[in-house]
Amino acid sequence: MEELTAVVLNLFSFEILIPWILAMCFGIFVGGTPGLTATMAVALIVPLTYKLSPIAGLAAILGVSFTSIFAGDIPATFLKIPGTPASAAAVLDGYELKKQGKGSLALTIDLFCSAIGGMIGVLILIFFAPPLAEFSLRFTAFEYFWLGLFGLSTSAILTRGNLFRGMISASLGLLVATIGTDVTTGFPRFTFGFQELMGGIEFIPAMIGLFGLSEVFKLFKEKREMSASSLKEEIHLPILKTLKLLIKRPIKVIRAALTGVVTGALPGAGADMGAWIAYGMEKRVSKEPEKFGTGCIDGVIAPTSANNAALGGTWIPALVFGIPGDTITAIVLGAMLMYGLKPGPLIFEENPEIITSVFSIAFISQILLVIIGLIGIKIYGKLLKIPQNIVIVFVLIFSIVGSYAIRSSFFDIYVMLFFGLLGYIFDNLNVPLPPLILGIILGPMVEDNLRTGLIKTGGDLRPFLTRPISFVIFLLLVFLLFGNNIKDFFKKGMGLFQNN
Amino acid sequence: MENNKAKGSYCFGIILLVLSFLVIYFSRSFPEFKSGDKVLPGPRFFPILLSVFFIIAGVVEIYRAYKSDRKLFIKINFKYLLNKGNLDLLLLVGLLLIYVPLINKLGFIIGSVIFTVILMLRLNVPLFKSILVSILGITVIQIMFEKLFMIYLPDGLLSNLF
Repeated sequence: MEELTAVVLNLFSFEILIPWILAMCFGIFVGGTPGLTATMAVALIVPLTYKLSPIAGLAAILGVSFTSIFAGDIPATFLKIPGTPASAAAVLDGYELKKQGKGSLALTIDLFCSAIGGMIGVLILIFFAPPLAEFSLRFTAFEYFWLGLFGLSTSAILTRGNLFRGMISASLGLLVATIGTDVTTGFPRFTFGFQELMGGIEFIPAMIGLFGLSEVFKLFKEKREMSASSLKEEIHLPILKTLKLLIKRPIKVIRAALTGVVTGALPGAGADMGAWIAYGMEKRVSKEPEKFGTGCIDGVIAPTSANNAALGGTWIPALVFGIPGDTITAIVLGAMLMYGLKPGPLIFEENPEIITSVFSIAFISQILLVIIGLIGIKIYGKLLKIPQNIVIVFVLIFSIVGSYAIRSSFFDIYVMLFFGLLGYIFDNLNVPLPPLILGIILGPMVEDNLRTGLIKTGGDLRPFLTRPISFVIFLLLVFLLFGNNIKDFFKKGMGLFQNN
Repeated sequence: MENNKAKGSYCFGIILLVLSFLVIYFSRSFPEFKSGDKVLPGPRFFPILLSVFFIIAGVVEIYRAYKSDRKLFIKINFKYLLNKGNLDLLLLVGLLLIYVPLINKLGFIIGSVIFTVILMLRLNVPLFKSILVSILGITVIQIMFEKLFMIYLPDGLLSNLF
């Protein structure tokens, strides 16, 4: 308890609290700008945290992730333009309420649900992550290899429904991860004489390129659609009315938040999918499903409670196994590695103060979210006046400066540019990007554990399947990839049997 | 939409095949990893394993494209490649390639102001507004990085002034 008090008090020190709050405001700005995603907000804030202490940096990055997800709901409600993909489900009823002149009410409900959902997500993370980490200490190279593949396959399946291209994308990420010095032999691979590539591709420029620059390219190409929208509604904050409405609906908030957490914990699913599943589930259990999509309060509660709760869920596999649940967590994991922290079961033993700090930051961020969010809604009317064609130019400058700032290297700007073009081309070819990023992150884990396992056994593949935990993860992987085919096969078999 | 998908598959398939052959070509120079007499998975093992998957994936993509629209197999749509949006994009990439060495020579502030003004004009922002916003925005970014985060951006021509 004393340790917790010390950690929390430390979080309120000047050098942590100021960047934390500033970063959360930045999250409101980026997340609330249509076309700029929460992932982009997190990717852009990372370079700004290089010179901060790990705790201050993590506070800033985590704070941005929570505010940008919420802020995406602001233009979703006022303009019917989701600020982030996680806000797409919030458009349905939020915008309908706005049309009825209740946009401020919808957003205030949204804000409180985001904070409550986020808190539930964090509490589940606090209670489930440590015992899961203890169990995962039994894992060896064989289990980690399958676990890495499992994470990649889940992301490939859940991104856009195109499993085959998702798997190709993940494999391309694995290939990118092989660039640099080979850990086992010290031999440089695919470096082509560039000293800058000896340590591998810098993750942050690659990330900024894939998610920041590729979006800029897309918006630049469609520049005729970049005229600024204006907001006519007078913004007020009906806090008491919101609280009364939510007190009458505690089960709905908790149910949506739990759905968000479970969805978020699946690698590759993330907040956007959590929001859609929670919305669908709430509609299914509702006594008045026909009201969904017409400006129904429950239709606002479900997706907005779920999207922030999902962030807590994404942290479970990220902290316990080092497998990011979505692209936002992937960036945060990259930042943790930058601070010299290695996510995985051992982090709970080796850096307990960091874990306590992460949990505390995530929890306190929800309270800060309410305060900053209320101010954010109020000043958003002014932000809407900044035309998108100006914002996009400065996002480009931030992307360039952010890539340069990691090690004051122009080479990293070219890396960012390369990945920006790659992201743009892949987007046009319907190749999902999240598996590519997860491939880059999980590449060393998959390759090292495969090779370590094979070296241990002298090239024998059998232990990958004969160890009990390994075998269970392998079965789960097979079911994940071919579950539908297996079901169809048995259905056909049963049909034939019955006919005969 | 179906046509675009087919074109995508065709291009993507070729990209995958070329990539896999390049990876195999360069991986051949990586050393073997031996323990006694046994050859164990060395630095080339994983890239070549991935290349095998890319070859299969490339063939599948091309086959799918061929199957969905046989005409597109030999037709390259130059009209699509040269539409206005794509030319704007090429212009942006070209500007970026000039901008990076430019900030090294002229410094972050001067290089970025020139770059952002050109971009904003291209995005239909009025001239006076783009100059004003550029100077203000770039100065704020420079101060933010240098004074707040202690990250120094190239001074270039202005190095003697500060």
